[in-house]
Amino acid sequence: MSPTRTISRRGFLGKGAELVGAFAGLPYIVPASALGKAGNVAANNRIAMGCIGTGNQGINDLRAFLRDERVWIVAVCDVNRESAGYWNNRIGGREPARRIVEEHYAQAKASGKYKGCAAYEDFRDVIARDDVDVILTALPDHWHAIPVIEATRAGKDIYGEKPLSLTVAQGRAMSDAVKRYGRVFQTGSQQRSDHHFRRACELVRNGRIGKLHTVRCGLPGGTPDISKMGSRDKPEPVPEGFNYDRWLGPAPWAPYCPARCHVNFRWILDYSGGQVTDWGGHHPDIAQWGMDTENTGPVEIKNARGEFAKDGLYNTAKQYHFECIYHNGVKLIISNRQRGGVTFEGTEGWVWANRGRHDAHPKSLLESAIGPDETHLYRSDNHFRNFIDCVISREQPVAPAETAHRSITICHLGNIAMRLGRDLKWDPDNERFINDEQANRMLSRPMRSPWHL
Amino acid sequence: MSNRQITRRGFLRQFSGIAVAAAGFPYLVPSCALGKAGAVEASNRITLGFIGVGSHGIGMNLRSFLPQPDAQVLTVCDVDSNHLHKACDIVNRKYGNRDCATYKDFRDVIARDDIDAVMISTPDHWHVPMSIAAAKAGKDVECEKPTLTVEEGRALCETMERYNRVFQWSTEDRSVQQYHRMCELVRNGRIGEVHTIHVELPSGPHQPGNPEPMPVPEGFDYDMWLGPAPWAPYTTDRCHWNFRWILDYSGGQLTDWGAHLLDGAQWGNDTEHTGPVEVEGKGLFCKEGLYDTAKRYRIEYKYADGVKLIVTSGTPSLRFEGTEGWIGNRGWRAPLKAEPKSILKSPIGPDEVHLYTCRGGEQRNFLDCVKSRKACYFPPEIGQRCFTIAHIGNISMLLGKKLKWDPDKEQFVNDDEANRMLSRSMRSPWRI
Repeated sequence: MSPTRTISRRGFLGKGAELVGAFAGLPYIVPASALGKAGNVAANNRIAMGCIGTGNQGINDLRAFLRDERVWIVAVCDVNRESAGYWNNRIGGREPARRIVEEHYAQAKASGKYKGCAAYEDFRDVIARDDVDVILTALPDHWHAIPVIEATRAGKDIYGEKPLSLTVAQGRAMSDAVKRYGRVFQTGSQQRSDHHFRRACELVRNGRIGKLHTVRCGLPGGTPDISKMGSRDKPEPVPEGFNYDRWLGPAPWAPYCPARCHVNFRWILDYSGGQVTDWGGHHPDIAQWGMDTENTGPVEIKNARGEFAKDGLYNTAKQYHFECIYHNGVKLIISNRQRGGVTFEGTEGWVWANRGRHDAHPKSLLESAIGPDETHLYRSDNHFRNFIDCVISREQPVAPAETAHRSITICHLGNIAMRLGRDLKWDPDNERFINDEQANRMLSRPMRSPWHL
Repeated sequence: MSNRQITRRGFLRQFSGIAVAAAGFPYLVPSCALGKAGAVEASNRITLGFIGVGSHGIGMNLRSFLPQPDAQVLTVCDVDSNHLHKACDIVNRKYGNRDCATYKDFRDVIARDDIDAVMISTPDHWHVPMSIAAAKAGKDVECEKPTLTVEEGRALCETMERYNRVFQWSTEDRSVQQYHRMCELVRNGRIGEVHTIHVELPSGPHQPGNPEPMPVPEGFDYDMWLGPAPWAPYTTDRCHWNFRWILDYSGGQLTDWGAHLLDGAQWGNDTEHTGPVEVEGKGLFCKEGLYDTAKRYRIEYKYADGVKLIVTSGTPSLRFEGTEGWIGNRGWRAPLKAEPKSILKSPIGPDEVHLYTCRGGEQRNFLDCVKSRKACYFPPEIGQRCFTIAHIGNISMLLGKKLKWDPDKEQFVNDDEANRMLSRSMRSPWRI
């Protein structure tokens, strides 16, 4: 060791090994898990994660990352300290998330205790930590763009929940930032890691149903009361521990009521695009995968019919139907009245996939092998692990930002066409409507001060 | 535990319990017991037949496949009984049984329907006929590089595609960190636009070889060894490792080592599915003795976009020169050098080109692809394009003239003499 008595990490580990050798016969001192033995990853090789947004989906994602031995969650963040009112009125917020993390890591400690997960109210505190390698964001849609772009600038890789964006302009800014700063970004469109969807798309891409002509995406409709708070839609005092102003963030100001926040935010156009974008991050994304149009989009939106929620707080489309025409003539129909899932129809048969299932006609397609010289799609069987794999390898994950942006753009276009009630022509290269300035103005929204992109 | 079933997790839990309980005592459980926990059940292993178990078949391929938990070697085959018994012993010792079957005729291996894939490590003149026969029998194939002619290489590509077989040309280059990194940096423009590629291959042969006919040794099926090659009298210097110095069976160092470093050149240059359009080579060939491949050479190729590829004999090296710097190494798997030096540390971002590799090597990659049905990292087409560069270099040297090459048609332009050298007739009864 150097005369200045500094202890380097390697030096320390070297010494530690000597100690173990010297004290052979005494009980273990250094736990094998910290050194990366027995399938564990050494502490200094783990990826430090900060979780921003720990409501229902945030906690689901967090639990998934706790299972990944390569990840170490060091911080959680939410504008809500702790309350009910999430999925099925369950509890969410930063304190429950911190408890989950600390209890999980405590199991591996000999003492049975672990304190080491910080809890923040402001996402900027997480991003500012230079010991944080990756960020998980699971926020309401109107909060997707700002933290992600901030995190890319700070050199973090990001697992960001779907739908990617609130507007087309925000999605473009996010994808560009990810590219500019060379970050790994995985969108939470986990259907891409479901082999049923991959298989269906592979069959389509390899021409097993002949020439593709129609794709149908059947999504749910309505504005179901997921949080069981839907009836409390009159203004109430903001609860203790909930930073409501920060929750609103870039969205227009509106009085607080429990029906507005947490899970049900998705039925209000200020914060989301309703079922169309909520599910748009899934089935239409699979449609783009199968159509091989992941880096482009439709050229026309036709026959858009939407029935929007009217009386009360909620105002997203409950019933909807719109058709997207691609430059090669393929028609993508997105509607709540189609068979649930994604159906690809071609000149020689069809393939259908939904979560955990797929089917085809003729049935023989189900057995058809994809040969070595054919198109094999990106294979990921675990969406969360795929992200961490790519953080290590610096490769693109299965659902990168640009792909997600192109998929969710379709749903934004559908919402705009339904609200305007007319057919629209779209230029996917320039991402503008052709000869329709009113529609073009709806591609972005102003943000409430002081927030901006 | 109920019904006494031991699951992997259960076992590990129990084991860590023992470690704590027995703290103070030396380790009792050997580490291989933990390795066994990761074993693949016999029914899920890929069954392999080895065709050709000489020095490379044993030293490289058998040695790499035997430790793979998801592979099981069922048979070995060689025309030389000495090789055959040596390989059979190695396999039986590894598995602790006497189950390994031995054959002297490769057709007996591919006739077995319990074999999923074959590993071919024979002299070059046998590579394509055996690979094609195996593919037609429904086997996936890993075969040593290279081909003997351009035309038979094309036949191999078509067969593999038609029969939907997974095929790997057996070279390690694409799994070697130095070559992968070099090509990835070049493909991502770290040295600007590439204008020149230097490939240096070893020289040789260094002896003329003894052409004196000798009796064929006992246990060696020499006629089968010759196979599709022209008949010639037996002599020790002709067979086994030395086949590569004779044009009847090989293309010399140019095809032997070219299969490695010319692939690197094509990989970095992003021309894996095409090739140069012009070739001019000068070579020094042995005049007397048995051996007739070029022992020293300098060949210049030009690609359609003006990139120059210069192949010389000397020390195995690869070097790319571009408008903004160069990168390369000198010596097989030698560390990379570059100008500017900073590019060696440059990370490859998620939106950049990541090249296909498999750190576990070509054998591991092959087994993975047999399962996934994806293309291996050195698939038929990319191999064909790489070996073609060496073959047209040999033809240019043998004819002593500059030739124009059409990579789309895989024909020389306006040169029937050269075009006739793209294929060879096979000795009866062999054909493809």
